[in-house]
Amino acid sequence: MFKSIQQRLLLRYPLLWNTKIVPLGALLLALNLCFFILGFAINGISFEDTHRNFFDFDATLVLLSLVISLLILILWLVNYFKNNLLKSFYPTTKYHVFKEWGLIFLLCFGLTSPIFWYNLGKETRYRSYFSREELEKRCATLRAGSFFLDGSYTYHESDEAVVVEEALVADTVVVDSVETNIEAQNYFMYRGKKYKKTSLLNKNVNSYTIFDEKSDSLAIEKLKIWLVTQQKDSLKKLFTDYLKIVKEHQLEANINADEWLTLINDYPLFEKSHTIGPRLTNDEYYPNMYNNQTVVRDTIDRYIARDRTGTEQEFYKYYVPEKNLNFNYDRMADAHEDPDINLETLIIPVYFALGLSLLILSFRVTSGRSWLIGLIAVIILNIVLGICSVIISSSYTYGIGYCIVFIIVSILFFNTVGQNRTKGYSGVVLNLFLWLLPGVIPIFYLLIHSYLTMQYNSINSVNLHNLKHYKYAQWMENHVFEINWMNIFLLSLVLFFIGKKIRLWRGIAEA
Amino acid sequence: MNEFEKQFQEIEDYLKFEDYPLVIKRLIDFTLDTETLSFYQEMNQFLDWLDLNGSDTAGLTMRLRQLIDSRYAFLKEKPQAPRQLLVSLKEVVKSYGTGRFGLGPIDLELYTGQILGLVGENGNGKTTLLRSLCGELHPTGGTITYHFNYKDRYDLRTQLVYIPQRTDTWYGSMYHNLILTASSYGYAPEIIEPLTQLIIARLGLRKYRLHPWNNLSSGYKMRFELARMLLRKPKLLLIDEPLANLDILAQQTILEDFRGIAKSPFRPIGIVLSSQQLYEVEKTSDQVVFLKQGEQKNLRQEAHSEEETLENFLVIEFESSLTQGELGNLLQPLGLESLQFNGGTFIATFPESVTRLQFLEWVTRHEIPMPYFRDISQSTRRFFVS
Repeated sequence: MFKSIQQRLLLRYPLLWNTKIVPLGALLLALNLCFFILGFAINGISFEDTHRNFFDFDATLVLLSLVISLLILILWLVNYFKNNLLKSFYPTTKYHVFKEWGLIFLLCFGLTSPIFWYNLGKETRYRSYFSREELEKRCATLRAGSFFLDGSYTYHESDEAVVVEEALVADTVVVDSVETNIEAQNYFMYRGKKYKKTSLLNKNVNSYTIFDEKSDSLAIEKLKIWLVTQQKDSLKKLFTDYLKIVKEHQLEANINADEWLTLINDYPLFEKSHTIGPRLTNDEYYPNMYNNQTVVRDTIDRYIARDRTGTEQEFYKYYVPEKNLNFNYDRMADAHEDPDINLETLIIPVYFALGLSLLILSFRVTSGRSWLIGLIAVIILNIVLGICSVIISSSYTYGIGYCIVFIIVSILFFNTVGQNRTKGYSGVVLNLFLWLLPGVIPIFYLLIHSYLTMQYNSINSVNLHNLKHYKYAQWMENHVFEINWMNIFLLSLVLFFIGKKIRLWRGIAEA
Repeated sequence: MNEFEKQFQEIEDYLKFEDYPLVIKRLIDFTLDTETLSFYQEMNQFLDWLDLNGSDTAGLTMRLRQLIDSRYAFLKEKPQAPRQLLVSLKEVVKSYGTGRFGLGPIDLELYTGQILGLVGENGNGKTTLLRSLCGELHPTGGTITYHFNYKDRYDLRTQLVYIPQRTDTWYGSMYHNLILTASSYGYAPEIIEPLTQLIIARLGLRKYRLHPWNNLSSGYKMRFELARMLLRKPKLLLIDEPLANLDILAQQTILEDFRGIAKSPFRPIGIVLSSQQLYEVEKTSDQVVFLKQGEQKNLRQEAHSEEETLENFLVIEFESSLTQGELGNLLQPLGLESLQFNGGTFIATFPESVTRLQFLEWVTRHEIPMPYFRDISQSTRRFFVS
């Protein structure tokens, strides 16, 4: 089939035949599809996992994709370089160079993107478990459940902690007076009552990326109300739902909803609520960061045992598989809300493809000799600019040097095309021009950003947000990916016009 | 009788004397001149038939007759290409720097259908002139004017085909390379394959079309270059030392091919070729330019040229077993002006009044042993020896 398509292309579209876009494009499509399927297939969620495995298969795949891409690249280049329409002076359209670059770029993207598709497959798999609504529901249950599990406490500013807020609901508990400031720091106020900071009411929740801070605050508030108003049915339903998820994933908890309620419900102060922790095994004991010297150990809730290495460790007497649930629901929530694979990360393989395509294009339109000299020139240029940057100790040096070289190279190239006399060393110049071109906008970005940063750093002002320079710098930082996409778009536009000049340059006498 | 009728008559003569290979070659040329798919297909069918029935002389003659008649009927109505000036050089100079070799000044004009031979010793500027003509080198002085339409410099170079002495390697199948050329030059897709097959057959490459480049001899590499050139429809073909490394038979064939290609009545092109094979080039070329240390010496000029390039003497190159002294004594009475011994051959110069026939009569009468003889009065050979 490919042979007959290639034959048709050879007769009708020599450029498409020459670039081998059909067979190679099909091969790369298949490769990327394989990586997508692989990412989808091997990244099924195992709820037994509580953390990333020590042996990271993803890293192995990066290496594998690199080797495969490299092999395909070499095979393609060997075949692609067999014919060169421009060097043979075959008739071409004005936009031939742009078209050829476009095809090279597409193929290079196919070569640089397998890992992107692998990750997309992985995240698609994560997203495939539950719909967004279902996941939100489950995460809300897990988040609420985490309030009643061992974890961090809310931080209160000491001064504010003792300010008696206007009580929303009248209560019978008397607010103790504050004897000392130090003691006051151990308490916080809630609905007109004073609680110890280690009270269950001061607990935090473990949140997920699909929730924002406001949603978390509302959830915590609701749980506090349930506790202080003793809405035991609501609490029990929460624990039942939590344990239902546990059961659904065939995980283990050693308490039921009633026990859980009993263990935590130390009404009214919730100071002696039992601590329920994550289920830990000898193999996967992780020191709980909150279980440190500043927190009194509740030996009632923990026991000491030796782990596999013989070291004594603490384990929870009452546990639910919180770590398993957190780790895996985190992955699913991230895949829905903040996937690694998006337009921002897509720019990485696109930039690699862009660089590779320009290296190949410059080799195609100039000569191997010019290309090699150009490469050495770029290396030397970077060394010189690097040394100058160190000597001058300015963040502008490299960028300014880069821009000056680019301007010189541009003038030399356009002068050669305009004069229409001899190419001379303009082959090297053209290589440099094509290689420096993608870096111009990013270099400008860095120069302007450095300038803005320097400007607002030099002003001793507390309220930096009101400073114009700071705002511009912030805007630039927030739009770095948009700027990079714009760079790629503008570069394509420039190549569209420069392609015509490159074709004309090919026609100039060699000497 | 116009050029087409002259060439047609040649085919008739070849057929009469059963010189079938030549008939077929010229017939393919005429088929290419038709620029019509049905004729291409008919000719290819004939070539396929020939591969299987080469020994059937009667059938071959009959088929050739039919093919000739059909092409004649078609082409006699087709207007012939007018003779046009292709390129003119005015005081063209190419210098490689002070104290180094410089070419020129060169003045010449080349018309469609003409072959210009460049001769000269090694390092005298033949390749420099060819490269200047094809746009690879930019002259440091003077002007080269191309008298045909082109959009830009690149477009110009697509119409000038330069085949260097050491041709670049072709990668991949020869056939695909030729198809790619045809496709790039905008032939209709349905025409490309029949046309390419015809051109391959025209240059005797049917057996070699799937051979890798490195397995081909120099002669066949040159033929593939010519096949590609034919597909490129250049205005000007520039070939550097095409006869180097070819045996004498291959040289004759290639030169005959050049003549056929250049002098097509319907698709004529200009050819500039450089060579050390003086006599062969002189026989084929319409103009010969001798380059001596970069300077131009013309042998033949167009009719309108007023420039005389050689003094009028009878110059004879010959071999003889006699010594220089003995020959001098024998030829002195005929008016011998000089006698040079030049590496195995003698060069004898006589005044214009002495004719070639008189010289031969004198040699016969005095029984001078002379196994080889050539009148080089009008040959650039004189530039080499004087």
